[in-house]
Amino acid sequence: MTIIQITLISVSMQIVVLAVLLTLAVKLIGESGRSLTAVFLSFSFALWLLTDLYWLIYDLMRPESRMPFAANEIGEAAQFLVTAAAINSSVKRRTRLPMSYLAGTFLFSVSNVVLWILWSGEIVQDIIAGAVFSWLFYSIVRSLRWSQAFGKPEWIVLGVLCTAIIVCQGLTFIVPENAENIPALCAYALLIAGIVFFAYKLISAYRGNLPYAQVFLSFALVTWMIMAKYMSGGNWYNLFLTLETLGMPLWYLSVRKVVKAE
Amino acid sequence: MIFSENILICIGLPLLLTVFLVRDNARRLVVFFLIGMAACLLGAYVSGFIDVAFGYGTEDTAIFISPVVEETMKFLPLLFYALMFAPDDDRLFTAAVGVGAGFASFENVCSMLTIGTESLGFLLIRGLAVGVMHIVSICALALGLVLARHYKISGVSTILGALSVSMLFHGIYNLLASESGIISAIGFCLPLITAVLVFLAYRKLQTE
Repeated sequence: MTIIQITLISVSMQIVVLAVLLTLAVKLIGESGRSLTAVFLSFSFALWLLTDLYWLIYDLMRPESRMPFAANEIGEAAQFLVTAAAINSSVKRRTRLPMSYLAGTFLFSVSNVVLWILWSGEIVQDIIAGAVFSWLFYSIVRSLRWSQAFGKPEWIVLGVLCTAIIVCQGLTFIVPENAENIPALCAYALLIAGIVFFAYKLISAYRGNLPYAQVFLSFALVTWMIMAKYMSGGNWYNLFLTLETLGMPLWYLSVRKVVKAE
Repeated sequence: MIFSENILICIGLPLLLTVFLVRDNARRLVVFFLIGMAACLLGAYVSGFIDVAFGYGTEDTAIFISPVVEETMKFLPLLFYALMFAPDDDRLFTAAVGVGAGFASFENVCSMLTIGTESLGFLLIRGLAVGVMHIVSICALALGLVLARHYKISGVSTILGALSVSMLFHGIYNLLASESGIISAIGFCLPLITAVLVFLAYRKLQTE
């Protein structure tokens, strides 16, 4: 089986999961007395589903041709925006991020955008998508801080992890071609370490019965997987895509817990 | 080649006269029907410009760029109406349906004149599919505006989200309809199936 065939199967599976989650999320709107978070969650799932469908149909109809600028790129950016809105609607008290958090989030976002541009060469699209992705990062960091999901040492670990990933990915452009695999493998190992870190914190929040921390950590976990997917190619891309599909129900489950309690 | 402006004038004039003879919701519907037709023509101009300026090619422009341009063109008058006149939800939906129906009707007339009017079956299927697709997508836009107004916060996210849902839905329809055989049949059925599903979900939410 080729890599693209595995991708097609993974995306098809994701579409099925999203269709089920969308149905459940729409039901949740009624069950929760039209909670804003449930509305935005449904919206986010709908956009994700349509974006995936568009990509799948295109790839089946025109295999091995690069998609020109199309509606799915706008859909992807809108999905990040709506996901950020879902997160922000759960934050009950507006708080400002301290300068160090703000600078860290900004630098990490900009580094991601620079790497995307270096990989794809699509400057305008990547800057627009990157700006929205940065807003999503900011919303996640703010929500995690508000819910006190992390202590100070954990924020430092996350900061070191993010810096190390960007350094490793950056090194792949600098080192000679025959040594390119070493920083790339290190970056993948760090991306997986990030997934383990967020998953561990999510389980801790679940055990500690912290519903808001669960919501924000589930969003952070899947967003980390999306970021990892964008940073990878080939089988690594498929791995993160599959993990992302497995993580999606966590959004619904954690949001359901919070909106039903409200 | 057809002269779309002439067609717009010929269809638009009787409707324009009607505006002075009807009142309230009927007048609103006719006005927005006319606006929908004008938006369709303007959308064609913009798509044509993008085709020439960026060298996409006629087919790729129709499949990939038109959904983005057309949904934006339909959305702008609706956004203007919502922001300037702050209508209630019912009036906003009447305006949305008017724009969608006008847009779809004008597109159908131009497409019929271009491809010929021999096969009634095909014209019925295409006409119904395009009509439902434009109305469903603009209803999604109107819903986005209603949500943005009711929930106040995150208005930009809601509006852009709704606009993207319409663009993606339209884009998927265009992608499927551009092929022949079973794929285009799925494309033509898609708007109707979606309309039924959305209607059922809406009714269920209302009863809850």
